[in-house]
Amino acid sequence: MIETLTPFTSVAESTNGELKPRRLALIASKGTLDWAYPPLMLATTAASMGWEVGIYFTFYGLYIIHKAYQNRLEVSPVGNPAMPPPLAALPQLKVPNFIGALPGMTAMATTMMNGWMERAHLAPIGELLSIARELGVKLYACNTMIGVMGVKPGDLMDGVECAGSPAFLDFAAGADVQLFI
Amino acid sequence: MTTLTTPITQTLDARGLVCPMPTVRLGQAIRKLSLGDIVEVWTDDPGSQANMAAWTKNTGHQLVASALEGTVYKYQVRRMR
Repeated sequence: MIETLTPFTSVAESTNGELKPRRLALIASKGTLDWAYPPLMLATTAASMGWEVGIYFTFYGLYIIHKAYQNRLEVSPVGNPAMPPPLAALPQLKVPNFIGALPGMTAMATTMMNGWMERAHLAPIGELLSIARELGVKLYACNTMIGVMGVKPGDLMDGVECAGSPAFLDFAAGADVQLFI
Repeated sequence: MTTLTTPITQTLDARGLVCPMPTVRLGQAIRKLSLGDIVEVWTDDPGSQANMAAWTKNTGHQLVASALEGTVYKYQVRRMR
């Protein structure tokens, strides 16, 4: 249940001396577990501070707001030399990259990363999205990529607005912080 | 760090949560308070002093008092707007 919230805005003085709310514009372009967290963490933080926040989900980033995928995002050890060894007690036991390509390794890396998030009490992706919505974060789905990737608007979570890049750029042009993730 | 003497409206136990969850939870909690009410946040995040300063500066809410008890930081924040 979402209780009634009384929002407040964070204000920054613009160059002409008028007060306007601070604004964060993010582009979320990747659909892996590790890349899904940063935009949602930044968005919820900024929204908790009263900023206006919009995230534009495009390319694989669409899967972050896809009902069937958002709680099943994965991370692959392939091509990621920073992936820590599976056993913390044996840091020298790094998994050779080609082994990361074997069947089951993506699932193993995903389980490992979900375990880190759980131990740190960091909310899962679906819950971060709920918090984002509760705090008024605007979620924009790139309507071009919806068409290109064959995603149906009904596949996306509630509260998502389909938008084109001109509409998002208009929002981003008034932002204090803009990031492509 | 000051003494915690002000009567509070609500306690938010954010111990065990990593950044940014304590401030996100604070943002959720303070929206449910009335103006002038105070929420006391408990966190063991060692970066919380800088985070709380930035958070209150951005939101305009007031950091009334803070204290470190053992490994737990306690911050009292008053809803101002």
